[in-house]
Amino acid sequence: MRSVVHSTGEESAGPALRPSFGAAVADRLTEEGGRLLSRALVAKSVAEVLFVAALFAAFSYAHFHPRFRGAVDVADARMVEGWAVDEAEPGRQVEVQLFIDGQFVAQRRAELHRPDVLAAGRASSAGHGFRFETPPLAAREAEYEARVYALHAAGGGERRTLNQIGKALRFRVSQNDDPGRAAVTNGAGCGEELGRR
Amino acid sequence: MSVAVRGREAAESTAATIGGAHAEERARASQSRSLAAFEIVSIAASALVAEWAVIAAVGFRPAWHAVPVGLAFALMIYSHRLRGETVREIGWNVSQFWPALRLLTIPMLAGSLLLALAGWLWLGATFRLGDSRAGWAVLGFPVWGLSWGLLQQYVLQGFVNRRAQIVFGRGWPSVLLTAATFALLHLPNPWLTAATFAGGLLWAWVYQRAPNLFALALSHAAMTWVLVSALPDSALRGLRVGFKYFT
Repeated sequence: MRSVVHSTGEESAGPALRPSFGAAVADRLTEEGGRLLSRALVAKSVAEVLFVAALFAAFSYAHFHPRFRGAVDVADARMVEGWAVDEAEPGRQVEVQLFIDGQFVAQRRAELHRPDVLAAGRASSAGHGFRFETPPLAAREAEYEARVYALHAAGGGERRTLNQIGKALRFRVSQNDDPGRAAVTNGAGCGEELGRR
Repeated sequence: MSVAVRGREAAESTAATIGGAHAEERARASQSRSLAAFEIVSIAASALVAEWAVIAAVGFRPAWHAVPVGLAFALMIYSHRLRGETVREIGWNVSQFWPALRLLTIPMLAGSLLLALAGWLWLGATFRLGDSRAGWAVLGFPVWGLSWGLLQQYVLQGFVNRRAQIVFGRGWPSVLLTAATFALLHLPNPWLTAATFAGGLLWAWVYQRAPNLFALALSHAAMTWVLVSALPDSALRGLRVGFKYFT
């Protein structure tokens, strides 16, 4: 191993030409030292990439709980129903929220009797069903989209995330569906209709 | 073969050896400069991971922050060892304390005046040493202010500035690189980014003339005290940086 002290390119200028700066940093990095430093830098970079990957995997697991299971079985002008279970705690009844066309409608606990969920071995009890009454919606040609989310508290309650249960279901509301429930189109926006609960 | 021919061949051989040695040395210097640049990027990346990724994912958790911070310090210490830098050279000395402090005094007074004027003219704040943050800074000055200042100045000057000098040599390019790195680590807080860029220029320039970390830490702590006294907290947002700035 050979130790060489070489210039950083500034000694030639010297203090006489650069009176406002002191002596240059002496660079004593040897060939072997350079090799070791390269390895250390690469190792640190790899360790940091793995750390950031682990950090975000842990973050995603904690905040976007992947153990919710369930389905939305029915969605129409009268109701939206299905079931939801947290496989990490099959005995716990989870809170679910209904959104129609991206607008929040209601929140409730999935606690209705669903013997089929118990029979399928999805939960340790049958009380994991939910049913929402569909709010009055304006009759229209285009479909409405219903999504149900399980609510998950993370970070010691600091953050709450919504995890979709099953698939989004689409349904139509026509004048004939239920005159008492299907709102007459009167130019009011969908959001305003959803707001009336 | 004549004596003259043998002499010429010997001279050519010596010249070739010297030329080869110079080329080897140039290659090593070039490798050292590339590594120094990589080192600066690596240390800045660790700080950004701690400020942005860790805070965004888990909030302030010392155990999680210890990973990037620990990796950065391990690299810095290992690099000092490989580059044969002594503790004294890095700035942990007393001999350069007074020369460094002399260089810092006038710019610090001017900076304090400018900060007080900026706070008063643009933000309508009056300079108050007695308000909560400044009062806290007075109490925390010897402990928090100096320790935190010393730590930051070691990373900034004792490492980044020295590596910047290996890349660019001493002078304004390396001073600018050091100040820009310091400012980058205070994004997205606009007032703090501007203040740390200005402070970074001064501290990097002083370090290149009189490398002393204690004098710089004293200056760092004092200027932080002036900053929180001169500007309102609505502008400084509790000196938050990185992801925490948005919370």
